[in-house]
Amino acid sequence: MNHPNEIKLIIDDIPVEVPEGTSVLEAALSVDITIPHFCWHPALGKAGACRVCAVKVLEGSPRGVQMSCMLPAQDGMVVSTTDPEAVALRKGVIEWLMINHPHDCPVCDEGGECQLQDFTIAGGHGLRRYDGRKRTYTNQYLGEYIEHEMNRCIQCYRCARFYQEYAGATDFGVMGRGNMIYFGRQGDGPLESPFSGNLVDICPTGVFTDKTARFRARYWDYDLAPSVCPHCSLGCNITPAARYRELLKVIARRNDSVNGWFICDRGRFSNGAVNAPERPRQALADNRPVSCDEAMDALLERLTEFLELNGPASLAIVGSPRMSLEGNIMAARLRELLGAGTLSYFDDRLQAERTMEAASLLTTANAASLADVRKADLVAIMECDLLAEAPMMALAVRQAWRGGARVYVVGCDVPFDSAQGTKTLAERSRSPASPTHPGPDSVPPDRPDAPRTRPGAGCPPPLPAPGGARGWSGSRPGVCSRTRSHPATPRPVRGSATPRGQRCPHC
Amino acid sequence: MIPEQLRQELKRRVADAVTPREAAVDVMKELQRHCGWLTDEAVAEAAVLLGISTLQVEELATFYEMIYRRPVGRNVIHVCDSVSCWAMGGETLLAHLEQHMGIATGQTTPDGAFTLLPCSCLGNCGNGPTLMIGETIHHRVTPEDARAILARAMDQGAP
Repeated sequence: MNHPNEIKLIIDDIPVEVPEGTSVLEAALSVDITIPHFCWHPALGKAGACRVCAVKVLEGSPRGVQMSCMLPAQDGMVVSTTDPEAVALRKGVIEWLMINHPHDCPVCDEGGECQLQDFTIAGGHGLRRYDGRKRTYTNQYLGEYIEHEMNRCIQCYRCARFYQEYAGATDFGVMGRGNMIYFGRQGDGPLESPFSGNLVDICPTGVFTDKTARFRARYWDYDLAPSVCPHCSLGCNITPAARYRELLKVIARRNDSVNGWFICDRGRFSNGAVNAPERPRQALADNRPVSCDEAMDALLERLTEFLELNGPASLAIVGSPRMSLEGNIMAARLRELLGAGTLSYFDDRLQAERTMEAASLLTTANAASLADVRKADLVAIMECDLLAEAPMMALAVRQAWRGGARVYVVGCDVPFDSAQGTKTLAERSRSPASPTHPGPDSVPPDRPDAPRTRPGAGCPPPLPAPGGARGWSGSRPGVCSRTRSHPATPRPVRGSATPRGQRCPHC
Repeated sequence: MIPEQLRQELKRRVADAVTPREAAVDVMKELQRHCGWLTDEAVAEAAVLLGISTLQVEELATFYEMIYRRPVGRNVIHVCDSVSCWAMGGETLLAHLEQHMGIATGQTTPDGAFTLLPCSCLGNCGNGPTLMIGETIHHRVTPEDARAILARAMDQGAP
């Protein structure tokens, strides 16, 4: 059935149907025609900054060579991406973009996974004609996680748009103008956004690369596998990249109904525990190294002995809220199989009851995905510090807020600004009068009509938390020595400088 | 530190703007007028007044070429450095001024009287070559005119 707002156009002799408001670039991508593009990104939209997505409009208005990202698809339009005029323009623009690019691919970590490499080759610019001086920059120290190399920049503005508009942080942006443009901070210092790692993925070339995996491997060296982030319950999709059995880096994997294109820094930079030498890698039985099969046999033997002696009722199978869903389901299966008397996932009864209660309220009809949250009209956050609990949910709420949603925080202690991502807890704890950071009432420029939030509007008194901790979100006083002393402690997600609400990522 | 009166005046202007950011150029220009150039302290002051981060003020300050993030002389000479003025002898004018004042573009004379800056289009293309000193635009400037303009500015600036 044809949707009333469906647009029909022809791109390279292929009929395309897209909803009204779709750009010609997106329409072309929808039928697998790739037009080179840098500034346009599905999550950020268009900027019209790179001038590389030229196509020729053969029929429709305006005719002639146009930027496909800026051009809305119209009924009856006929577009060519292969017209010699468009091809020549793209080739020229790419050549200009490459004028200042250092061509240091052999020593660049982006090499092999670089959009600039791909589109330079695709655009047909294979020989450098320019032999003048190149623009050079002094790089900044951006913290222990991101390496800065401004000389490679092609000024697509993706980083600044993501960082300030999408993620709402204000310590990184674009300075200067024209040929003297600089993407960075006001001075050296770690990036403050808990989503800063996405700069690595979003930069079409190697201005921002993952410092933790610097000079370790090429794209084709990695063992890659689609995976799900284990660091909170949201289930953001990731691609861990390993080499020689060492997890080198984590890359966001696109899933439009969950995390979209991005992941948080906790998910990206918490490899320490995975690679920790203390991590058991050898099965032991009675302190004797054995094969995995032998260990399983030994376990079964002991279990059988135990069950014979004590009966299944005295056996407890223990899972954990920190374990993966798959692991916890296996724990339940094991319990069934052995007829164990106890199956425990929580360390106290109240926590278990509350979780059961909350889970029982969820139905397929009322459960919302992160994609639903991003499009919500109203978001109520119930006694939860989103940035500490599940950072990507805070990012999703921010997208809803940017789209005009009203956001309420019920439960008083964490104002909404952390959900916006415009200000983090770390900053708040630093200095309330710090000139760098706007007060909670400030209205960000990208949403002038922003409704003022009402922290704690009509909020009920907080629920009594068991043992003085904060219910299901609190970390317990007793933690293992790895949590306390591991040398490669992953960076805490900024914005959760308070110990409360942080979970140990080590197991 | 800026005078309380100036701060209150700027606060009022920010409050009158539709969005605070809209008042940014106004605030930066006033602070520049007060300090001579937009000092780091003035950037911090502007950030507080506008409710944006210092980086965000820096973004705007470095975008506009008539906001000075380094100390400048008492008079700033902007010589148009765009295509229409080039065609009418703008480059010769700039070279002449450099020679006359004994400084390169971007520098300030040792007595602190003049800073010479090239500048993207001053919007006076029909009357090139153009230069601007203080807030006055001069049309069809010959090297002789330029010397006279400097001398007048010197006289006016003299104590």
